[in-house]
Amino acid sequence: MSEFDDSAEPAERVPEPPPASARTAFEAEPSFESVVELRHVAHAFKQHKALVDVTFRVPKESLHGFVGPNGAGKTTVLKLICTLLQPQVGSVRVFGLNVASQYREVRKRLGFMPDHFSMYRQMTVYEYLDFFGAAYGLPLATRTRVIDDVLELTDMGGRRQDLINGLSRGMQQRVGLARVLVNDPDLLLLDEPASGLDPRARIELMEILRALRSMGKTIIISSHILSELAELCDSVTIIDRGRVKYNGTMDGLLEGEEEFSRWRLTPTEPLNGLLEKISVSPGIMGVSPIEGSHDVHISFDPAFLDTNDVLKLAMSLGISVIGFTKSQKHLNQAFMDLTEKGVRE
Amino acid sequence: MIGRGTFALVERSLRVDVRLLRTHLVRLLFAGIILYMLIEVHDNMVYRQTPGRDFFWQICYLNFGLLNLAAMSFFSTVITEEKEEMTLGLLKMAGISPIGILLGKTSPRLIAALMLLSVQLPFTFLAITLGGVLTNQILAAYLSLMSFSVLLAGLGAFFSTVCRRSNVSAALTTGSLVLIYVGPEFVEPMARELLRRGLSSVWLTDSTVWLCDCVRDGTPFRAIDSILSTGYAGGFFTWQVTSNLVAGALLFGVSWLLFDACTRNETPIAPSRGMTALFSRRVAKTHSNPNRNRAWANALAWKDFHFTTGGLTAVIIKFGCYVLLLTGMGMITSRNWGNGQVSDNVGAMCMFAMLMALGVEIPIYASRLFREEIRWQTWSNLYMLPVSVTKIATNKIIGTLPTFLPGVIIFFFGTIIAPRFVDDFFEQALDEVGFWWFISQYILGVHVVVLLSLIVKWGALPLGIAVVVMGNVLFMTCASQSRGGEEILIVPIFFAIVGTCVSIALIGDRLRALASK
Repeated sequence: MSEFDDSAEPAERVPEPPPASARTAFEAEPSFESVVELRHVAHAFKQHKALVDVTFRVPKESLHGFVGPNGAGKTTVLKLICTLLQPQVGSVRVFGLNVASQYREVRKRLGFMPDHFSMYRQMTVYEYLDFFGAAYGLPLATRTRVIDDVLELTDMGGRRQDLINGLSRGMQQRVGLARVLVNDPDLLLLDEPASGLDPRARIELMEILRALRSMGKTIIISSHILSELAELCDSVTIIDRGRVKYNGTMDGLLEGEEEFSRWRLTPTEPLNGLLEKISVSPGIMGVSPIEGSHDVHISFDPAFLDTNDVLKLAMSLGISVIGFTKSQKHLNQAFMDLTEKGVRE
Repeated sequence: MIGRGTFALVERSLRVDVRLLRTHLVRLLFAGIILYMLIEVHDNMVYRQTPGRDFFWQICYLNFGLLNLAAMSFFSTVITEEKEEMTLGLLKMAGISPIGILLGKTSPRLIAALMLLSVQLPFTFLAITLGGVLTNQILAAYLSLMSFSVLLAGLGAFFSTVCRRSNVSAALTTGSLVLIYVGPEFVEPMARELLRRGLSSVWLTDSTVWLCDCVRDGTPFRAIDSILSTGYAGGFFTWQVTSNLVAGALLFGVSWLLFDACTRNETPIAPSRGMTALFSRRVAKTHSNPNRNRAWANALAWKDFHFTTGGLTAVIIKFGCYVLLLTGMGMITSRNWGNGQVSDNVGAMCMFAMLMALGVEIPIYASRLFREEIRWQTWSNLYMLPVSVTKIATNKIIGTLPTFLPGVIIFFFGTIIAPRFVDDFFEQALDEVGFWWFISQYILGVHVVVLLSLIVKWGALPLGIAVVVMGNVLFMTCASQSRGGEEILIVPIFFAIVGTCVSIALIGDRLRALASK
C-alpha cells in the first residue's frame, strides 16, 4: 500500500501456528495489558528472510529489552513497530492499532530513535527540538514548555544554543532522546541507544530511561549490552535468526524453568565438612560450592522447604551466614543458551 | 611515487566497473542511440546532402553532452567521495602517495570515458559510406573529444581535491564549464562596451577579446564544427586538442600540489547551515531571545526555507545579484535597443532574464528537495511524522517558494513597465501547441529530476535534463518522418502528463522505501 492511499486495509495473512520453540512466557500469561503485539510476523528482503515467525507482546509501562545477535532481525522488528516497514505476513498492533492501516494514530503515540545519528546537525539544539515540536503540531506556548522540560530531563539546558554538529556523541544521543520526547509519546523505541557511548554517558542514559519509565512510558530498548539490560529491564524478548526465542519477564528468563529453587548462601568462613551435612538434609536436592569463593549454591524442593527453613537449617549447623540470595543465571548465559552459534547466512 | 597501491586502485575500479550491470546497460543504451541515429539518417538520405556528416555530427554532440554530464558527476567526485566516506586517510596510511591516489582514482574514470568513445569508432566509420565525411575528420573529431575528456578529468580532479563535499565540487565543475562556454559571450561585449564608454584601454580590450577567442577555440564546439567543415585539412593536433591536454595536465598537477594541504585534516562532513540560519543564530546568542527564529506552525516549510534555500539573507542577496546582472545586461544590450521605448526594452529584458533564472532555479531546488534528507539520513525522522508523504512534500515545496521571490518580483516589475508583451503573450503563446509542449516537458523534467535525486548519488539534475531532452530528440526525429504539422506535439504532451503522474507515484514509492533503509 502506498503512503498516498490511506484507505486500503492490508490483508493480514496469518501463517500456521508457531513451533513449540517459539512459545513465550507472556503467551501463557494473557492477562496483562500489552502496548505492542506482534502475531506471526514474517518479513523478507528479496530472498533474505529477516523474520520467519515472530510473535511477542510488550507489557504497558515496562522497560522492555530487545536482544539478539547481529542480523537476528531486531531492527526490522523495531521498524515494523514504528511503521517504517509494513508487515508482509502477520499483524503488528501498537496500542491496539494496526500499524499498516492506522499508521498516523500510531505515529502520534510513539517515538523512535534509530541506531544512527539521523539529525539536522546544522541546527542548534533548540531549533531542532522546536522544529519537531512544531512538526507534531504543538502550539508555540506548549512547545516552549515542552522543550524546556525535555532539555531539563536530558540535562541539555545549558547547550540549547549549541550547534548539534559540535556536540559529543553522548550529547547528540541526549538530543536525539529529547527529540523523541517532544511529542510526549507513550511508547519509545530505542535502537542501540548506548552504542558508542562512554561509560558515564551510558550510565546517565540509563538513569534517564529509568526516569521515563517512572513517568509511565513504555520503552523498548534494543541493545547488545546485556549487563545493563538485565539491570534496567522488567521484561525481555530474545530474537535469533528471525524467530523469538524468549518473550517474558526478566526474572523469568534469569531464573529459568527449573523444578527446584536455587539460592546462593554466603558464609563468613569455608564450610568444609558441613557441605555433606546440608546435602543429606530432607528437601535439599543439591549443594555445590562456587569456585573462587566460600559461597555455595543450595537447591531445594519448594514443596518441602521454604527459604526460611533452609536458612534455619544452615544456622542450626553453626554456619554464620552473611548472605542468602536467590541464584539467577546471568543474562549473558541465558542469551547464549537461547541463541545459536555462528553467523546467520 | 606510483606504486602497487595505485595499480590496485585502478584494477579495483575497473573490476567494479566491469561487474556492474548498470555500466553495461548505459553502454548498450548508447549503442542503441547511435544505431537509431544511423537508421534515421539512412531513411532520410534523400533529403540530406551530406548524410554521413550529419550522422557523425549528431554522434559528436551526443558524446560532447555525455562528457559534460560525466564531468558534473563522474569526474567531479573522484576525491570528495573518499573524503565523505572518510577513507582517504586509510589510503594514505596504506602508503599510497598523493599522485598515486589521484592517478588511481582518476584514471579508471578517464579510461571508462575513453573506452566509451573508442568503442564507437568502428561504427562511426559507416558515416564515410553514407557520404560527406572522411576518415581524417572522424579521427580528428575523436581526438578532439578525447582531449576534452582529459580536460574534464583534470577539472574534476582539481575541484574534488579542493572541495570537501561532492555537491560543491560538482557545482563548481558545472559552473566552470558554464563559464567556459558562455563566459566569452558576456565578457567580450562587456569589454567592448567599456572601451566604447572610455572606461577601458584598447590594449586591455584587445587582450580580453583575444582571451575570449582562445577560450572559444578551446571548446569542442568550434573544433568539431571546424573539423566537420567541407575540405577540412587542419590535421589532428589542433589548438583545442593541445590546449585541452595541457590544461588537463596542469589542473592535474595543481591538484597534486594542493593534495596534501587540502586533505590533511579528515573531518566528518556535516550539512551546511546556510546564510540566514547563521545570522539568526548569532542574533539568538547575542540577544538571548528565545522567541527569535522560532519554527513556524508549518515546521517543514520553516526548515526548508532556512536550511535548504538559505532563508531571508539568501533571498536578499539573490535579489541584489539579479539586479546587478540585469544592470550589466542592460549596459551591454542598450546599444541595440533601437528607437523603441526604454521601458519596453527593460521590461522585456527583466521578464526574459527572470524566466530563464526561474527555469534554472526550479530544477536545482527540486533536485535538493529530498536529496538532502536522504543524504543526511534524516528522511526517516520526517517520514515518522503523523502526516502523509504528500503533505510532507507539499510543505517542503512551500518552504522553497520564497527563494523564487526575487525572480518573481523582477518578472512582475517587467510586466508592469512593459504590459504590451504580456498582452502579446496572452494573445499568441497560449494558443500555440508548442508553448504547452514546452511547459509539459518542463514539468516532466522537474519530476524526473526529483525522482533521479532519490536514485542516483550525484548528477540527478543534468541526468534528468538529459533524459527529457533525449526523449524529445528521439520523438522529434521520429515525428519528422511523418511530415505532420505542429499538432504532432500533442503526443509528447500526452506522454509528459503520463510521465509526470508515473514519476509522482514512483517518487512516493521510493520515499517509502528509503525511509525504512
